[in-house]
Amino acid sequence: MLNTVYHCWRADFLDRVRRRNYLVMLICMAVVTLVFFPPDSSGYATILIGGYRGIYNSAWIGATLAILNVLFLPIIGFYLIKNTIERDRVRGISELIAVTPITKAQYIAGKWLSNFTLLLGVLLFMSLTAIVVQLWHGEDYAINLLDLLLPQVLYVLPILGATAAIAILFETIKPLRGGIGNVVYFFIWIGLIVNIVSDTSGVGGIIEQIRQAITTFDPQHNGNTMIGIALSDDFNDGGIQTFTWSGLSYHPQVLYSIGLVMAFTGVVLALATVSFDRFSKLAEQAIAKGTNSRVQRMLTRLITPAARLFEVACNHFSFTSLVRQELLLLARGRSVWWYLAIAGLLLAQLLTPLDTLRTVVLPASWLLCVLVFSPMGQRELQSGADSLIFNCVSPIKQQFPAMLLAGLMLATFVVSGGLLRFFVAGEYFSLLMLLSGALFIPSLALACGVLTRTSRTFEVIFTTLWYVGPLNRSGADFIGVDPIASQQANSPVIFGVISIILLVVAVLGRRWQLR
Amino acid sequence: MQLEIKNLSQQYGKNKLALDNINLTISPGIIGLLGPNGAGKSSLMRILASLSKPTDGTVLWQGQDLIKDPSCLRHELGYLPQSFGVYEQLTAQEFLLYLAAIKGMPAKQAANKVDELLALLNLSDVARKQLKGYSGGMRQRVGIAQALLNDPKLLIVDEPTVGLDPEERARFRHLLSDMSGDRIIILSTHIVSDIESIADKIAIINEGKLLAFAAPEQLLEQMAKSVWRCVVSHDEVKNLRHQYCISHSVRRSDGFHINIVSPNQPLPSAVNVQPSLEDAFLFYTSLKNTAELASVGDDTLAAMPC
Repeated sequence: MLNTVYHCWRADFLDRVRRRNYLVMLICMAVVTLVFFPPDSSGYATILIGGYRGIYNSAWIGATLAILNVLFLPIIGFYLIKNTIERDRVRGISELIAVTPITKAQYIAGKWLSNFTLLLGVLLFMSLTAIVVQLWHGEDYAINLLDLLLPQVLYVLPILGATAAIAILFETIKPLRGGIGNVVYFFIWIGLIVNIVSDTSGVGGIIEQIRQAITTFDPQHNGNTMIGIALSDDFNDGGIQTFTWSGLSYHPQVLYSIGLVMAFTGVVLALATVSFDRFSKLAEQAIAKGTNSRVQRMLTRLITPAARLFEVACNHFSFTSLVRQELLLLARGRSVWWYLAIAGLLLAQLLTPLDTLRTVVLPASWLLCVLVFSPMGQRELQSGADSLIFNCVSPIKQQFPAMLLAGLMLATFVVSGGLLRFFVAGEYFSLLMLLSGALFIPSLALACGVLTRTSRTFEVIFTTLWYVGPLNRSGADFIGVDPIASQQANSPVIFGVISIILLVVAVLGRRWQLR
Repeated sequence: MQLEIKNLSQQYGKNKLALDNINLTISPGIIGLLGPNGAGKSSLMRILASLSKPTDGTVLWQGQDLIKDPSCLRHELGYLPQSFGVYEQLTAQEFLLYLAAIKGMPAKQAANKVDELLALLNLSDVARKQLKGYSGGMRQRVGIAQALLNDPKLLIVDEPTVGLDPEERARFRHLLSDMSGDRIIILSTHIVSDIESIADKIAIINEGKLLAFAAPEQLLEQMAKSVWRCVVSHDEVKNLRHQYCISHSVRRSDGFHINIVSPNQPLPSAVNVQPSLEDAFLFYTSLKNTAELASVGDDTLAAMPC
């Protein structure tokens, strides 16, 4: 039993840890760690409690690194590890595994261990970087490994175990295996963050202890907690104030919290074991039967005349014909419900008040297209058709513009109701903003796909931007939910320029691939 | 030791049958499963390997129902799928040790067996090289090695010679010959030469139906007076192709030398020749339906056991 689990873990772990993208991930996380502990001269701060930060000693770095990891490793780590079963399935290793006597529990345990140790590797690398950070800043040269590592062990490790288990569970549930799962997990994580921060037995407890320590010497501190990026303009007069943080004190409540997270992990793994189909074809057949063919037939009948017309219009030139094929590739494989939802949203774009159109309908329309755009730029490589496609057409001069144009057409089409409304209402700035967003989306997808060769990058970045921008009306609003703010920020020009930069990066990346 | 296949059918889509009422009783030895691409060989192999389930029928391994309880076979099964993947960042040795472990082999026994198989398949020199650097043929040999790891009682190999060069193919045939004895080996292929020298029995399958199941010499015997050779012009070949099953055709200075499979003499100039397994294979797979098979069976192949 244990020998099987050990080898299942070992093979999967070695196969993933030896890949270049894991090394890239480690380097990125080291950079994140460096950026998280900026020198005062940098003009920004990442964590301030009551307007203070601790001097960079092991206790402060250990505690705040734990806060960073608890908040952000569950999301970054999830996307890093969520493909362990899918890889076996897609690459055909499942054919060899399914005929062996390995049990579902053994397989799931081995895969979970592999996920967990990969995340542990990230955590260790970040902790090592934190030591370098402490020595580099030189505010306190005494390295206290216990102060530095114990918060990671007590607060972060259990969360990583749970993240590893959730990633496995998502892979065993068919609808959550692909991009939908990635988007769903993002919103679960967003929903959980508030609870994590306010939970006194976890990160909330660390923050509370720091706040109490500050209160002892400055009872008048502002009491606010800032985790993120604050520019120097936002600081109190006199810049960042520092104090010496002596370290966390651990209460039995922490153990209770660990036990709770471990129990949760166990339940998730048990669910994953039950829902894992052991690569059974029968399960896939059963799911395939569930598609609603009657609705599909009806929809096909409705779409066919328009599709024919489009085909006739495109077939005169080889490039337009290629654009049509790229468009078909983008739209192919969508469920019938996706088409119905898009149709419903297009109708809503025509009927809802302009304010609702901006804040609800248009963001929803583009969010629904995440999985349509995410394969752009890497579909050829993922499907192994690159050697055929890249030899047939000029990948830079023909296929790339065709992909971009197809993406642009689709992005424009799904918000065409909104464009029409803005035109009729004379809101030309909103119209321009929406068009620049329509260019930005496929440009981002192409750059992400070409550079990272996985659809997950776009799924994560786009969903994050969608949440941060249009939903929270920040500078990343590529839809123009708040037209006045967008006009002041000159957003159409900014997103236009960003799109061009992304396209140049994508073209350079593709050139490099072709070499 | 026996593998019994009873009334096995597999349906896909609404009315399409990948397998149509297959009945076979297989005893130790090498069974060649012969059929054109898309005949249903892989569907049958996948059911036997417990990878998919039939829509109808049963498979009994040593009397136990494999469909209801696939675990009754998994410790004794070796399977090489038609296409499979590997962990590319692992070495061949690491990958085989992994598969040995999930097949339930003890660590020490697994290490010895892996070394033995790597040597047998001429992979010892590259055993510590990552699989991403392997050629197609080398990967196929790793696939063959993993199928043999647990010394299987039932070995199922689906198109095993794909990607192998002629020398490797010959070595693989010898390997299977040496291994046969007290085990069942089912080898699926559409290349007749892969099995004609080693198979104890041959099953010919097309469009999901089992057309013949007999020893190679029986198949040849039943075709004894049904293969004709003649020399014809280019135009005549075109016409004859519509009327008969032409199993062999070579262009020479005096015209086309062709082999025709037919119960009756197709041309006055045609002479009876010794049939080959290729003739039998092409003849059976050229039959359009069961009625045609039955009618031909009345004349020349009546005693074909299925």
